[in-house]
Amino acid sequence: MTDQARAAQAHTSPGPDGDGVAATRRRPRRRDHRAYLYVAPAFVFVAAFVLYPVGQAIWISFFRWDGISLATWVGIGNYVAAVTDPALTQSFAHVAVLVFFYAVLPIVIALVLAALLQRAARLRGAGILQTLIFLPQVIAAVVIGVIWVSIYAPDGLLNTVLRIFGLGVATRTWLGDFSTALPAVGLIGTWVEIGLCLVLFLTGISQIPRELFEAARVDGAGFWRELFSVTLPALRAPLSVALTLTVVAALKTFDVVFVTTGGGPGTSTTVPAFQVYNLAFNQGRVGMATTIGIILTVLVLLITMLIRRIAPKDDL
Amino acid sequence: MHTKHTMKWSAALAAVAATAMLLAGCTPGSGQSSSGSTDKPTKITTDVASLGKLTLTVWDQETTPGISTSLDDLNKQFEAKYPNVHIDRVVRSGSDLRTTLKLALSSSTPPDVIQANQGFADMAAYVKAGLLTDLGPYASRYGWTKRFPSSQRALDSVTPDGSKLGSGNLYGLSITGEMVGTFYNKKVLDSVGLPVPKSMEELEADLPKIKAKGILPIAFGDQDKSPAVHLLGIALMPQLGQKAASQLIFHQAGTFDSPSVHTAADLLAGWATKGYVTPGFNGVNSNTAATAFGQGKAAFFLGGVWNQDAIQKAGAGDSGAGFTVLPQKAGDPLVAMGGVGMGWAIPARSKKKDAAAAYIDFISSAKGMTTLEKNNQLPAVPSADAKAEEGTLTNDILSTWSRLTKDNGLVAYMDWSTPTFYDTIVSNVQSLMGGTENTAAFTKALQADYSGFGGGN
Repeated sequence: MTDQARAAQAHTSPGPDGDGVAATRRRPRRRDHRAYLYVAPAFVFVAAFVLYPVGQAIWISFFRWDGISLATWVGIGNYVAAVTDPALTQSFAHVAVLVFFYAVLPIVIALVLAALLQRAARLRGAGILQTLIFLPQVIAAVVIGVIWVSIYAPDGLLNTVLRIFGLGVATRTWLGDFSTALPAVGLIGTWVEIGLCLVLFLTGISQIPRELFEAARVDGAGFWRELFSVTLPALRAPLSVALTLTVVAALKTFDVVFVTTGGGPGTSTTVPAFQVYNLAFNQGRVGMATTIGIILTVLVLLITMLIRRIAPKDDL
Repeated sequence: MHTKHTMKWSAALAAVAATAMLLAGCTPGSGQSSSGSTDKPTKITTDVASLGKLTLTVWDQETTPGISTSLDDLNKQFEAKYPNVHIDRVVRSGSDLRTTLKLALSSSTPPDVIQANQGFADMAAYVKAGLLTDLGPYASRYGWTKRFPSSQRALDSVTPDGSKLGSGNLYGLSITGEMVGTFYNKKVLDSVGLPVPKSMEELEADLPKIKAKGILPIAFGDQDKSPAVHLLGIALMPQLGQKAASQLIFHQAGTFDSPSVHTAADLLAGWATKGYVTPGFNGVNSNTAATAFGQGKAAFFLGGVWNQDAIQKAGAGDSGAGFTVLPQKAGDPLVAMGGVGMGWAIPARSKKKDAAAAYIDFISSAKGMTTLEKNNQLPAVPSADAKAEEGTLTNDILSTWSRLTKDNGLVAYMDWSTPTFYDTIVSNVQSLMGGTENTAAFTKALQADYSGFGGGN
């Protein structure tokens, strides 16, 4: 398929929607009843396996409960504790830092990479390069954690490389140092998410008519000008998708922290999802754990809604 | 528009679901009977042969070869002794057992014998929910109180309301032991010209001498956090002695804002600043530290006996390293933090309690202990003639454990004090040794958690 054809297809895609609206306008009543019937089986399924457990979780979050014996009603006590307990509020602050490393950083890097790859037009081995950059997405998070633990180790790859370049003073136990542990964990996320963002952006760029780039270049636009005036505006849809996925990934971070630091040193890398696990399964505070889970869910919902707000209306 | 519409719908549905739950009005856990008193057996039969043909379902989590073989062996012996009994052994890994056990215990057909993990999150929670049988009557009938020292039985004891550990009724019986102590590398000590220390005081005096020779005194890795509890215990327990330490941990007397705790905290902080422990220890895995010690890169390794395998495989071999528990002053009675394996317990709803108790009696008998010894396990109470090859690490561990058992010197892990104490200790030890917290703040944080504990969950 040529770029023009692809672009043409992209432009015609809103078509069927428009037709649908027109068609339903003619017979609105009949559609309503039938639609409910079609939706019913799926709704029963969702109600039983999603809505009911969510309701149950909300209910449990109002109790002090060890998981087996009779629970004690505490009202919003758990929620009050969640926002006042420094150990818990701290974990939410950590996750905010992780959003920078999981979402902002990879998106910026992937944008620059995508623009470079686009300019390099027919780069040899571009496919291989993309595959390599995307690879971390396919690896299990626990494996990624183990790999990075060895990279960050006192005699690991990172410190070895630093010593080779005569930067021995900069070496440290990255995951064991209070000031570097959280950024070190964050950079693992950056490494993982770059691939996802890059693939999304390259797909987006491939849908921009080539003439636009050519026209921009004829008008004397450089790399940055082209990025901001042509590429970026056309990438709003993939950007919002990338932002949603990476921000959610940051908020639900558990496995990487669990494997690399276990929340340490001290409490410098605790995150809410880790607290949920720890509270429920190690401390036997199921009510409190559920409360953090609910807060996290609401947070994810709010942030994704916010991201959808900035996305172009017709693309999502 | 369309998006907003669905959003509203899902919000409404969630609200409906929540209201449904509210209307149902079922308090989580209300399906349980919470009567702990009815679980006491009244008439006890020790004659298993008279119980007729029966199948005993046993759930355990001993997946490691040595102990698993021992249990298979003991099960066969039990079946041979009582041909009317068939044992259905279900082995699950620790985490699997933990998650399914809560459900299994509350079903109407639970297993007949289980292994319960001690502590607030597990054993105490089961007791509080009335799911375990009080083994007291069986203990006096079978003489378990004489078989196991009180320091060991305390570890399997919980008050009937699940609020306190270390006292109350006996709900489990453990057949293996473990302890935390001092490993020393014989070759490294020889090269520095130092004898094996006999007390904490001697150990402290040795550290600068070893450091001066350019050798790392103590291999220590705390990335996995649990070593923090063990190291603090090694520094603190000898100062307190078994009785005071046990009273402190089980909330009977004492405080964490005491001179002993201050001294122990100062000691750990000092080891970190003086470079007596592995650099960057907060980011070093405990297994890595044990391996480095086994390779002869450090003179000491302070930790649990479960590190034996890593140390031997790293290069220390069977006899390159030794193990001991150090008292504060040479000659003091031994005291060490440690534990016993998971407690063998009988679910309250089991219908074959007498047979189950007979089974627990059998595996914890002298025969059980020798079977464990044969398979290189550390039995809770080593037999009188228990001995491994002289000069081996295995023999050191076995003889130290025997002495500790004789001195009744076992103390529970410090984190048993409160449900949150593990997290409090490990994060504060990392901060203390990492230099971001001073001794005063350290003891204050520990005491705040300790004194804020109201009992149970």
